[in-house]
Amino acid sequence: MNLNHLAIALIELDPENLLDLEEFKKNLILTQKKARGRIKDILEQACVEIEMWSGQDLDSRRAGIIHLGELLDQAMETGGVKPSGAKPKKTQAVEPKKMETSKFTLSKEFDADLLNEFVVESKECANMAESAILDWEKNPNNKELLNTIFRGFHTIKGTSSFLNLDCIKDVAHQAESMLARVRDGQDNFTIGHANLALKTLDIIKSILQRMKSSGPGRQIDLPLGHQELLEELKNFIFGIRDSQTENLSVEPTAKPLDKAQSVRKDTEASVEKPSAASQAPDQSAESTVRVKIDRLDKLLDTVGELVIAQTMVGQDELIVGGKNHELNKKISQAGKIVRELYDLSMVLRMMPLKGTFQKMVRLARDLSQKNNKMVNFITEGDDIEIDRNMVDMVADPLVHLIRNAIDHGIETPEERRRVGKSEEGRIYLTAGHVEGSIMLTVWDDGRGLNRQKVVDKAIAKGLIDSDERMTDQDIWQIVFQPGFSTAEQVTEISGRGVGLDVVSQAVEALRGRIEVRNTEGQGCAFVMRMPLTMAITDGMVVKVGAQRYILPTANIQKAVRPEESDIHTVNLRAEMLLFRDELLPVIRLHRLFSIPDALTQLTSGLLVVLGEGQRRCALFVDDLLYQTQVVTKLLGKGINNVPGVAGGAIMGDGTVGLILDVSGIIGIARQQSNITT
Amino acid sequence: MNNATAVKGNQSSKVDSRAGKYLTFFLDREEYGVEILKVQEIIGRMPITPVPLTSKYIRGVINLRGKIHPIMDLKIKFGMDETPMTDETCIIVIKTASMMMGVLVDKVSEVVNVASGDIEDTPSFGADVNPEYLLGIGKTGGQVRLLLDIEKVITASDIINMKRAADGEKKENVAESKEAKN
Repeated sequence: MNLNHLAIALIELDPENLLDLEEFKKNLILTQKKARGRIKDILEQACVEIEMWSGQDLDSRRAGIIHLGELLDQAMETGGVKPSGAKPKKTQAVEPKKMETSKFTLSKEFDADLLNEFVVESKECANMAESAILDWEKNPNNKELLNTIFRGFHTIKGTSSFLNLDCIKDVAHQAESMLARVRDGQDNFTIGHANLALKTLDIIKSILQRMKSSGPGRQIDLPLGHQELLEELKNFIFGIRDSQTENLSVEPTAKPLDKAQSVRKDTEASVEKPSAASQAPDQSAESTVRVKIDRLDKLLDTVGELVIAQTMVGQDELIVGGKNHELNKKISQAGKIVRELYDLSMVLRMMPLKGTFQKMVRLARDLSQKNNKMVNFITEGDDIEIDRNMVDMVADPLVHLIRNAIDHGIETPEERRRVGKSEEGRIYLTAGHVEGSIMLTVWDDGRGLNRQKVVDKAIAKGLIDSDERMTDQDIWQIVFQPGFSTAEQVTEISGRGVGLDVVSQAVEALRGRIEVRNTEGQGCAFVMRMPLTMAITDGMVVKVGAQRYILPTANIQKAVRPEESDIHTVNLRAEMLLFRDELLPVIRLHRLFSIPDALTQLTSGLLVVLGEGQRRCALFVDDLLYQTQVVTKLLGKGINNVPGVAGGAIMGDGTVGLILDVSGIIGIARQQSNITT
Repeated sequence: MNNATAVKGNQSSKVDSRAGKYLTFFLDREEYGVEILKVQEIIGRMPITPVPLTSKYIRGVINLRGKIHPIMDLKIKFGMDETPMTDETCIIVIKTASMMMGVLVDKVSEVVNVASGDIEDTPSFGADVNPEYLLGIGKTGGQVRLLLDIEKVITASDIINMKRAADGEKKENVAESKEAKN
């Protein structure tokens, strides 16, 4: 890794992809370690900065990336290199090897469909192999797994060779050779093998991704480290422990897997995914079809419209008030069938969590190695399905929770021994269905949260005055505040007080809630609960003036008709509601949205208590009308990001109803009070 | 005999890209045109749900066969009075490369074919409308129509307007303090 490589990697960095960021950070740190002098200083600063913003929101990350680019330019200029990526005259303090990234041109003769299929299938192959490798680390005696891994590389090598994709074929071939020796008994499968194999898969997946986003006849840049990986693999095979493989997490000296896992009991290992080792190789028992996503979406849209049209027929006056029972029966029957069609099609949107969980397994493994902690990472329920639009959004919070668990929760093996725990810590990631919602839990058996520490920090930060009358649950909710951290030491991974805030926001965006279950000294669990699909919103229709809005039920705590005595004014401006011994800010929706003809007397209308924990408010509306379930729709390009509005829905009478975004409303209200005071 | 077209020789030797069919409509007494290829459909007036915190010229959104589209009031956008909802008021649904939006107009007129020779460039003064929004002026059949560059008009620039809420509150406060004084 040198500065040029870093700079190029930076350009390609996607601020939305946390795992990519993680990877880049690793490389940055390594380069920094090997650098000297001024360059080392600049890179150190870069490391500190990236640590700061990599856990923050998207905008901060984007800005961070831009600034990082400037730092890298500085570093390169210091080293006498033109930042434009030209070959440096004097060697950097890093690697004396070739500096240019290689390029690769996709043949024009490639059919776009063929390319797509190849990418999709190869990715699946790679994921399967990765999963098998991670399984193998826990079950080193399972020969079947080794075969699966071997087959994965073999297939990828074969198809890429057929398509003349040397860049993939070469690394796959080397990896396959390396594994062949293990299969034939010439070598033992070690952590070194596993790491190299995983690295190879990463590079292959990276190439596949780039192929996908370019196209036939176009040039793609090979990912950094491609050439080096090839060298590494060759050297590894020839028994030369390349000292530069140190750049990945683990020492290359083969550490037989058994030793590391000796503490594990067999029973625990078997708790894992039932789709593990012993089953017949790859092809799943059920047959599947591949369908293009946009076709699926169109189908679902049309079915949605059908439901609405059917509802409108059913609600027409002629039907509702009519005496024609035969007609009513027929319409009712048709309605039933339409709803069934709808339920069936909704299921089509669902995707299993398996892919996401697998990423987490890999993440946990890499992190625990890096942190020198022994962690058994167990997943359960990866066959649970959620709306495909939610799958990506769910990955973010999970990454943060797992990082926290490994960094702060699980103790080092020595400490664990000292307090009488097993040297190896356990982290569970489970998914389950609960009454129409999905529950995701990250549980670790580490040291747990220390109530007193949290309270002390909170008091020090001025968040609370004392912890009287605060339940445990209330205290735990404090940890989700931005900037809150009880970590004594900030590490590379966490401790800056950013992670849990991101988790809290992500859970809110998913219209869910998060709860903490903690036993000090024994462990801590974070439980996220969210609706199965964001496509449908369960909400309460409220009336303000002549307008109606939909409030998602997930955000509503209670609705009260206030008495005069419940309302308190602060500074003659801010109105507050006294609710269960707490003061909540009152937000007048009619003012926020400039709605004419609405009630202005707080005591004549309703105050709806919304939100969670510290971010709560009492929203003033005229009345609550009815509860409903609506299909969430976007408002159309250009008008999608109206603050306070999460989306739109088609109401029963054909008009559009606006679905409110509670945290957006609280945000606007805060801005307002800053403007006018 | 010379062709009539030879007279305009240097002008019409290449066809004006702005020539073509236009859908014309009225905003108050002025007649405008949009390229017919950009028109998705025309619908009569229908209930519009207002969306808070958007610019004044965004009247709100409508439900068109299950999809939600924003509606722009062209008269407000061009600095005229708000479009009153009458029986003749129509929504023209415009489809561009990036988005779909409906525009509210007083009355839809007809589809006319505007030839190259009938198009003149917009004078730099005189038009009420910001000249940036105009492709040119079409004179067909003796009538003058302002040809809109509808893509420029409906670009999603300042659709979201947080100030509106602040203004709303200020107005209320002024009213309230007036009341209090009385």
